[in-house]
Amino acid sequence: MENTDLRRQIDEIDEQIVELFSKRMDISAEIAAYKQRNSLPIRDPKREREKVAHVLEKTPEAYKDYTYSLFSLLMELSRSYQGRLNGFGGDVTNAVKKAVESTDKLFPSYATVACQGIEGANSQIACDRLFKNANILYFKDFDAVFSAIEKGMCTYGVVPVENSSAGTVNKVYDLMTRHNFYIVRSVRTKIEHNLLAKPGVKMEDVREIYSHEQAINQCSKFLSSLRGVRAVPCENTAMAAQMVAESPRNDIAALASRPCIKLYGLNCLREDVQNVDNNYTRFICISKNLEIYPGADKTSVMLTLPHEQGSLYKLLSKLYALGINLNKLESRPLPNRDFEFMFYFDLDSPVYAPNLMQCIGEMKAACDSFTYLGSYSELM
Amino acid sequence: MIVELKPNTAKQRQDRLVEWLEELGLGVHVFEGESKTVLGLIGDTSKVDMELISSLEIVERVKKVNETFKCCNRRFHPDDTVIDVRGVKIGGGNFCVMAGPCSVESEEQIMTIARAVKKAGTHMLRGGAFKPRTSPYDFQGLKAEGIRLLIEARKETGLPIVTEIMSIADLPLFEDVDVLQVGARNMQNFDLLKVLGQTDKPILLKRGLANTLKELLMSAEYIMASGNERVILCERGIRTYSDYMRNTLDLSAVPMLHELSHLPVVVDPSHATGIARMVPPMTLAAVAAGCDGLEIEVHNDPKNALSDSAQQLTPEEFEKLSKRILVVRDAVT
Repeated sequence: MENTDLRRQIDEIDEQIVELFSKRMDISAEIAAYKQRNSLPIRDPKREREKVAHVLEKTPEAYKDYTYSLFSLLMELSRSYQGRLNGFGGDVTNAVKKAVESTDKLFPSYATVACQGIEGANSQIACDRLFKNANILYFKDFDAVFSAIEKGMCTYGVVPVENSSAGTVNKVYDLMTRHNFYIVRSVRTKIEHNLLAKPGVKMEDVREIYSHEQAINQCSKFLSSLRGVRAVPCENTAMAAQMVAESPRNDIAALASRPCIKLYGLNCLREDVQNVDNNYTRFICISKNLEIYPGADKTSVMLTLPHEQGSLYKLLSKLYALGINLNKLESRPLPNRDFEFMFYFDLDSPVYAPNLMQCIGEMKAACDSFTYLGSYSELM
Repeated sequence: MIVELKPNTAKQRQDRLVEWLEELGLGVHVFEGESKTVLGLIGDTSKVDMELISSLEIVERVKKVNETFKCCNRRFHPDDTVIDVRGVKIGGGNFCVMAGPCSVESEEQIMTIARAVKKAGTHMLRGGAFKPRTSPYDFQGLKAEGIRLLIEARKETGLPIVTEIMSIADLPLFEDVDVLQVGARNMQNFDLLKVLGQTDKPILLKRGLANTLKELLMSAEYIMASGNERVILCERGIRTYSDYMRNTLDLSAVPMLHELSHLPVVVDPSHATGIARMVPPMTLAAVAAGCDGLEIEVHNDPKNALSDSAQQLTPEEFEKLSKRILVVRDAVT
């Protein structure tokens, strides 16, 4: 057979495909309307699985892989079309619109805020940067900070999410799946560690240094320069300072923040002893209510993906297609599930941009579960 | 449930916690003692997240309170309550003797007795104007006139006056009375207790002769829950198998009530025994048991008294007893 003849046959088939594809999309639109009337999600994993199994059964062995790809794409296009018809993001779009309109133009200067730790903790430094005048209630752990805002004891909570040298605060990410909250602002705070001891204690007297494990890591160079001194990890830096202040011992010191000097009546033996000068921690400010303040240019979402090939790749390709930059992508294993993950996305886009809402709508349609965590700006 | 705060907790933190608990629909009883602050939670505490409260840095500990009485519970208020009646203090180491006739009978009678008990060093004057008598044919008291005469006696002696209220309807007559007594028969007259809870008068609440300590405390709770925290508990004898004596004076109630509650506890040995010669030994035993005060009946002419003639002491007997009370108190405190 001549090549031209083969091409002609292909053309004929393609014409049929286009015709059938258009028909398929028309029916898909009717299904979208049905789903909207009955408040059903766009994605129906059971139907998709059955569909793929059915078409694969009919496919000759040699083409099975290709059929699989073709129908995955067909269904994805169908979902994308349905998503566009039913309004991108639906409830998320509406909630965002409402929040943008109803939130005060100014971020509050006074509030009751939940922080983990005790007075002098780094969360307090972040909190003082966010609020002019905060009534801080301190809690034993991060879990309680989330509970305190959920249960209305505090209006806001401040928790760390990542450190420039020690990385992600996994504990906080893991708690996000268990609580209802929104991110309303974030702040980057320079973390400085200082060696503090009781007045009268000299550098050469110090035999043991207490601090949080991360702080000890961040000051490893300074610590290894000291001879015969042991670093002892404890719950947090402020507690280390408090313990040193209250101990009868005169041979211990703490690595802690500057406010701890005044707070616990300590003396600063050495300033800024961290390894690098640009040691930053990012904190998020969380609230029970969705509040979106002017200038919000970051959006956070968390989601789980279908446990199948290429699902993350496909999701990322949507961001690429819509021209939305990804600031951070974090994955954490889900408890009691075998290698299934919760993904956290920080999207870099003004909340008012229409393609952000389209992106959220398409992401939602492609995910098993999807939670919008808020849109906010970061205080540098 | 009670929440004990750490010493030196910042006021605005404490205030926010209290405000939040109130937002949950709970009553919060704030006790600010010298060494610690305790928040007593009243209401349905089952929905309160105990774990969240315990994880607050300002909280020392959170405890469930199983007892149904809250306001009068010592756990809500670790220090003794001191009640001030016209400068006379009772509770928290302040000892107070209330003495006077069973019933106010005449101006001459009440004045004579008032002068005599004052001379003996008593702190308050008691006297019945409304009398809850077993028989409707017995003397029922001088009523409004009785209260007027007590006020007269107070004018002359300066002794604050204690008298019993039996009915809500009589309350306006008690406007100028210092301490309102709820008698044993009315201990569970809950409507009366609620109304007294809305007054600002100290209430002397007597234990019913067939009531448990828990029931007594629940009655005090009625008064306190209605807003009046000035309650004095009184043990006045309970009905048992003991013959020869009118009632059995349950002195073990004194230390037990002190353990359970922060309210002052007084003892009435006159009604408990019903026999004048039994009053002095039981008075001294009550003092030894650690009571915060006594209510003793004294009559200038017991034999001819219009009520409870057998149990009232003469002024001379009372004066003698008063001296011995001081000796025993010295010995036990």
